[in-house]
Amino acid sequence: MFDLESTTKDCQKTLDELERVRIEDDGVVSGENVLEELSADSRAHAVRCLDCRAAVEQFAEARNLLQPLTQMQAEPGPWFVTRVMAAIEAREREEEREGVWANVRRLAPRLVALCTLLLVLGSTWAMRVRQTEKQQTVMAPYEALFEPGPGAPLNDDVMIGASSNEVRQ
Amino acid sequence: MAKPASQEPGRKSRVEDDRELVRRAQKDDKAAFEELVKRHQSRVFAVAGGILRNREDVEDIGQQVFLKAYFSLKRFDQRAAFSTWLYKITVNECWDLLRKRKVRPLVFEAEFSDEQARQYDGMEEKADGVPDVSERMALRQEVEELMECLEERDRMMLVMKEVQGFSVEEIAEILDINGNTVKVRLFRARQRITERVKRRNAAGV
Repeated sequence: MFDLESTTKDCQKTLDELERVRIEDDGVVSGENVLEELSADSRAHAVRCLDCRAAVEQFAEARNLLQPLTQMQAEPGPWFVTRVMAAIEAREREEEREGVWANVRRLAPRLVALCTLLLVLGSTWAMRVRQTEKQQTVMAPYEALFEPGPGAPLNDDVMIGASSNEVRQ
Repeated sequence: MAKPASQEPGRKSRVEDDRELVRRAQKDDKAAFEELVKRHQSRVFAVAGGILRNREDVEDIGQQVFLKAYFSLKRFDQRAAFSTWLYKITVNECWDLLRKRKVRPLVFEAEFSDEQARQYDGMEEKADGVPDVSERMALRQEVEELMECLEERDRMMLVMKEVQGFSVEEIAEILDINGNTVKVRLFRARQRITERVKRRNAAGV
């Protein structure tokens, strides 16, 4: 078997040329056909060098083996371009929609923090109001003894009323 | 058969046309991108087909490749040819798919859709002496089985070189490896499959 590590310059040149060989013929090719595609120097070398000759034969054989694949290459359907362009537009629409939601998602932590703060402040305020009301209702019975009920005339009004009656009499 | 860009006449002007189309597509010109899809769809299919072998997978990957290309186009600096960049995406997408599945598809029944089988049937009517679909599929299966002895990467290189007509330099660029490595691996891959054929023939299989 060809040892690539111990190739000579001529072998290297032949192998390099071999990689550039292109045979457009769809039929079976022989090593001879491949040799014809090489430069005169490389051809002469390949005829002398057994390893290079073997490489040329392998090249032809591999090419012939793979030939059936060239006749069965996948081809895009007639609607492929339309499908691609439709998919692009659909993706763009989706990204636009997602853009709105992305903004919402981006602002979400701030909104949550703001709502939490408002909730805390609101509940603190509500609790204070409730506590104040509670304190007032606890103190009410004692104070009510000394305070007039709703709608009761003030003492001063009673006094003024009494004095005006006296004047009239 | 799809040939690589380097094999076609007027490659330079084609690359220049691609550059202009890419520039326009980068400015959100969808018609320009559509033109790029039309130009490169066959080659993308050829590359993906060489790796995946399953028609449906090739279609899906083809679409995915162009979607990815479209949405990454603004980051593409045009230092490499658009085609090379596109084939790189194709190869990577195929590898990702194979990695996800972790197995190489060996079943060939689903290889061709009914529509494609009909297309090939039609071809058979036109060209006498060409083997029919089942014969071709059997041949292909035989070749694929022969290549089983190769590493996936070597198999892919060999298909790219011998079937799709890429040059060593193009393969090296697409696969991000040294040109000499490509040559050595191609050489060894050929050696391995021809040895296998010899062993098979000797065993009378």
